[in-house]
Amino acid sequence: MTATVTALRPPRRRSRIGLTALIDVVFILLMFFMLTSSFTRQHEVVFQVSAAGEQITDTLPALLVLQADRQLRYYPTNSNAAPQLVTTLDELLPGIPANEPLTLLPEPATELQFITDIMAALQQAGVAAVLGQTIPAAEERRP
Amino acid sequence: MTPLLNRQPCRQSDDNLIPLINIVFLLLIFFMVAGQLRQPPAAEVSLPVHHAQQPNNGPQDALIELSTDGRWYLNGAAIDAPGLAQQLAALPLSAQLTLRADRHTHAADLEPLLTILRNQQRPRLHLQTQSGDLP
Repeated sequence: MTATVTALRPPRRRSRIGLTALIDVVFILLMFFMLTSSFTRQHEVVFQVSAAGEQITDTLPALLVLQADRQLRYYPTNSNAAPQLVTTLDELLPGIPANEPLTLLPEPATELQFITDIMAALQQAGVAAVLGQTIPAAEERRP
Repeated sequence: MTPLLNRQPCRQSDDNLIPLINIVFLLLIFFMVAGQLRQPPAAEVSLPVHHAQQPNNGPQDALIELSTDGRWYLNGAAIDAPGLAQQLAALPLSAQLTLRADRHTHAADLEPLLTILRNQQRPRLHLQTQSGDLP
């Protein structure tokens, strides 16, 4: 019975789906993702920061002064001798003991890029580098 | 009289749009998959360049930004140094602090933040960098 009624109905015309609305939505989505997407891959370097009130010992810690002119002054542990002045870290790395902490002391005008380079290179070499306080520039004696 | 054999098949006008829709869909999928949605930074800076092995995709509890004119931002809102110290003190010691600063920033400009970290006994600061070559 149902089949007979269906057969008697006039054939339904299939209405066509308009593509305009779909294209509108897709274009809006495309604009959104084009304008908000970022393709810059960001990385990070972890700075170890020296803590205030750290235990004071009799030993003089190893210090590395990062000068504003991108030179390095290295004061070895327990040494009051004149610092070793170098232009690249590679000259210093063989003489820096990996098991002792090294405190980095940037001068006020030292740029962050230089600090990042030195910190990352020391970490890659296995040296426990700690970022210390900014020190006044051009002091030849041990800070 | 119209010849019966020369009749063209009736083409729909939307057929011309199908290649366009294909390309737009491909572009859409590319931007959805390859792009990363990020909150726009409060301070436009040139990050330090560093070729790290691991990208920075981890969670960050606080994003500290330092603009080139020396203004501080915490999670996108402008803040002064005492306010920054107060807000950071409310975070747990295990919170990951991320710094976003220009590569030409001087160490003296970073000193207020480093002093806060030292006083609050926070030993780690994550500095955002970017891969690439220095201009």
